[in-house]
Amino acid sequence: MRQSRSNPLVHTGLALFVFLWLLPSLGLFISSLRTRAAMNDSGWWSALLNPLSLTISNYIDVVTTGGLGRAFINSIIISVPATILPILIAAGAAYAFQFFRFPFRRTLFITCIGLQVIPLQVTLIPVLRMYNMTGLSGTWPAVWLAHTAFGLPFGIFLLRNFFANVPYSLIESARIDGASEASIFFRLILPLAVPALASLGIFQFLWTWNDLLIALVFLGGTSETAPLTVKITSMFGSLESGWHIMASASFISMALPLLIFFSLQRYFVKGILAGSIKQ
Amino acid sequence: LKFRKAIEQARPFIWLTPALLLLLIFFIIPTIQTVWLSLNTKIEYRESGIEKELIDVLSSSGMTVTRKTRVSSIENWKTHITKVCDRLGIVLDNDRIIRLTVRETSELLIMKLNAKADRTGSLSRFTGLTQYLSLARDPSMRTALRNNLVWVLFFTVFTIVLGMSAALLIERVGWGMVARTILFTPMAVSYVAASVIWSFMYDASAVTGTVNAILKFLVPVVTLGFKSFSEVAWLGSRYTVNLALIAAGIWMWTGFCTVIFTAAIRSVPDEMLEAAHIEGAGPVQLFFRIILPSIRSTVLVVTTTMVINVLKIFDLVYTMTDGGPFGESEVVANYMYRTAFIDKNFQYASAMAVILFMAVIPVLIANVRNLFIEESVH
Repeated sequence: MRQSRSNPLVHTGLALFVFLWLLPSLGLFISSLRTRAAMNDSGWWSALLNPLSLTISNYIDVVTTGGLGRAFINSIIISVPATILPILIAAGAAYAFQFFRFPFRRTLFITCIGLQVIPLQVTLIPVLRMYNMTGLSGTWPAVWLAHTAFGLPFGIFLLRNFFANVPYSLIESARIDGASEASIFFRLILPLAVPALASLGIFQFLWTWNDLLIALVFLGGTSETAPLTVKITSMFGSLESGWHIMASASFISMALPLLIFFSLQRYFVKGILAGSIKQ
Repeated sequence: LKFRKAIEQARPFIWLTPALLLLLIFFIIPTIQTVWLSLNTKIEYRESGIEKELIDVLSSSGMTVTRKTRVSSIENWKTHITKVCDRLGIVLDNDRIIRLTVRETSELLIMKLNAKADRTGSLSRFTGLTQYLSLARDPSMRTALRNNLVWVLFFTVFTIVLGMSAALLIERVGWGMVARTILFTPMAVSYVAASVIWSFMYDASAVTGTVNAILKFLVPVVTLGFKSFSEVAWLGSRYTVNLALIAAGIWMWTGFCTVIFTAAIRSVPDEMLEAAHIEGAGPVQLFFRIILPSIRSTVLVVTTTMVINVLKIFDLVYTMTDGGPFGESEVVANYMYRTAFIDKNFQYASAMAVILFMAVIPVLIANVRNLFIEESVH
């Protein structure tokens, strides 16, 4: 059946799918290149006939006067540590779960993984109260720690699955050679695990970059700390900015995730498959 | 030697401690606290109680004290005020009340108390299941639950069915991988950006709104001019708002299902497909008799993932409608956010969170059981 008979109906069906899935983003993207006046007068599709009318002035406006530059930097300040920290901590835990024998190993592992399904909402209020009492609320470490903790169950799961394919004899011979556990971990395991670390890194980065809820709750919503998602939501709610501005702001927020997505799609797909298909 | 053995045994925990500590602080303890909070009710301090307490304490100096007495005119007033503040657990700058009357002081105290309670949520009283009874009677909660159910149903069915259809089509054309990437791209986009994209699609005007413009063009063509189409405010009408929001969610998550299903379909052994093909099975039979049974467990996993995802749906609703129009598109997570962080009623919001939690418990139990079985094979 695989590509054996190419039915025109199959091509048409899939083309329709692709068209429907492209249309929403395409519409907003073209709108981001149109002027306010043009936006009010005609639909975005009319610009297809007149591509010379397109301009990048919306992007310049939104970055220089719209405060989106600050939000972009905030998003980076949040996402980079919130991606690196959980990877390191999850890798350490996954290493212990795979290469050590100790009491309650299985129970502990299953507890860690099982936490994945707990909705964030269940933990938000007590964590916020803890942050309020310790004065962490509204600071960067508050979001870093929260993102790290919430990313751990999936991270441990993904990396442990990867480590399961590393032959135990490799570790054993390194131990016999007198290598310390730290050097086994950093010199042997982590380099081997680069593909798995890459998938986890992409996931974690997209999560933290695209997150709205944690930033809203733990950063307190002031514009000095607001990441792109929070900033765009508040611009959207205030309604003073027209579609042309909202469109360019959204595409600025999508630029980095899309870049990562297209260049590292292979690892992203691997991560998704590892999470849901037993291999 | 014994000491050495102890170190040996502690070693794995050196690697585990950071992770276990974080999971304890951010998952396990908060979950217990949320359940506990949901069994309490928020107390609002009212003026009369504090005012009476102030008068009682201040009169112990032997002077007649009324609401209008200036606090600083009473002997030892600083000690008295400190005593009241200590009992309430707040700090008050004495300079601030030198000019105030008893009544004004009590107002200031109440302001401080409620502000503190809002931050820590600590002013509450154990009331058992009262919060849940209030939830059952709360019309907003009923709408939210109904909408969550609609989301679970439509979102899950459509992402699975569309994701599977796309996967089957992708398997049969040469440009399948390009198509898969395009369907999959919305996964990289934030809910916020998707909200802007789709709000723009749903724009109520037929001049700028894409959906309205398409329908305005298509409806007369399809009905051969018998019907015309007048624009709809998709997000502003109670009849369309939920389905419009769900469609945006489906757009985001179908690609995820497609990716998993294409991989699963590929793992079906070629010989099985060949054999069925030789026996004259058509594509429909092939799917229902061969493919679907062999990827059943994958479909199950994807379905549960989708259900868990959609139960806590928040960003799309928060950004696109915030539950409007007139609360018609409210979902539990958004209602909970509003109750907790806008109205500052942590106790009532916790009860909502517990409802969400209970909805995933069956999945949690099933997952843990599967993991125990798998791990014992390991």
